[in-house]
Amino acid sequence: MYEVLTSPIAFLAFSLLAYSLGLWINEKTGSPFANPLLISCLIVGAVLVVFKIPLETYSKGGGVLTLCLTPATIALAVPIYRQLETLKKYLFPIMAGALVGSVVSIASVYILGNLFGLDSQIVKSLLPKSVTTPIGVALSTSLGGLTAVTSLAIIITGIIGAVCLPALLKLFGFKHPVATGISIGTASHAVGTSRALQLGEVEGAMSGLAIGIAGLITAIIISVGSAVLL
Amino acid sequence: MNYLRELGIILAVCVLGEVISVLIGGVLPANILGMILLLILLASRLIKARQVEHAADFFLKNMAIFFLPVSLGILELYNQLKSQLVAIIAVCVITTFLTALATAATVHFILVLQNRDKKGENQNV
Repeated sequence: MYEVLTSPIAFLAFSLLAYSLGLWINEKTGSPFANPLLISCLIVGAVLVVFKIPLETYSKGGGVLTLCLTPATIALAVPIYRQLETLKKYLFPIMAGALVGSVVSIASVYILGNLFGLDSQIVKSLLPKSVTTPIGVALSTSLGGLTAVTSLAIIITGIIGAVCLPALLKLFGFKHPVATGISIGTASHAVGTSRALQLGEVEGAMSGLAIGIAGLITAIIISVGSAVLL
Repeated sequence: MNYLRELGIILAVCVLGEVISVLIGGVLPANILGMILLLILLASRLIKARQVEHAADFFLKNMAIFFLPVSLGILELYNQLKSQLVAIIAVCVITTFLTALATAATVHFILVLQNRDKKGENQNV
């Protein structure tokens, strides 16, 4: 029976249903803290811990979802294409925003990480935490960081972005959809973008665009920076 | 609309992205290269938006769930990072807020400046 209940299909079904429950709670409460990814993560995580199921067993089914990450990022080209005129019109503020955001992200992680007394290897692993997972993991490897810590920090950042950023930006009075979208994408990559897509097509497209631009800028800063400093 | 063909096109772009990434020595990851490639194909009209948009919408609407297995990676790291986990989360929260505010402020500030310039020009005319 254990084999049947821990089969790839079983875990895939469980993941989809847990996420659907998260979506339902999110709709019913309307609260950004009821984030579907966060809820499904807690449900599935709790079951894996309680029944002592190794992550490896789960991943045989869950891996199908991970496989979809690349096409999901590539699919962002479609809303960006639909917003090409917006991109042309706001090219300078978009590039400047992503550049400033990437610099602030790297600098603030370095300063705060050291201030909070984290190991230097952990700090290195956290430096690329605002960018999309494949870029972040590659940069972490080149810096000598721990890729598992980097993926974890990238996910935590994404969930924080999806849950808090729309409200935070509103609180500070940033209303322009380009400012909101670029900000969410630069600070919290694709997970934040999944929330930005709900705010509106312009926000979603700008956030998706910022994943690419901020990813490139961060890759350049960290590669050049480590070559100069090390 | 042909779902399978749409999915096929997007997955083929993924593979092309992987190929280019390997050819340039992994300087850029396959997903970013694939995104740029699909944007070029759409902008040059080699692929029309309606030939991929339904499959693309499926991935975009459900994007968050694809991060679920990766997020569960915390279960394996928990024991190793227990002592530093609170500090790591604190760094993530504060820096994400700072990054978002700095980015939004930059975009906002430049938009305000550009608007003022335009108004200035109009006044001169």
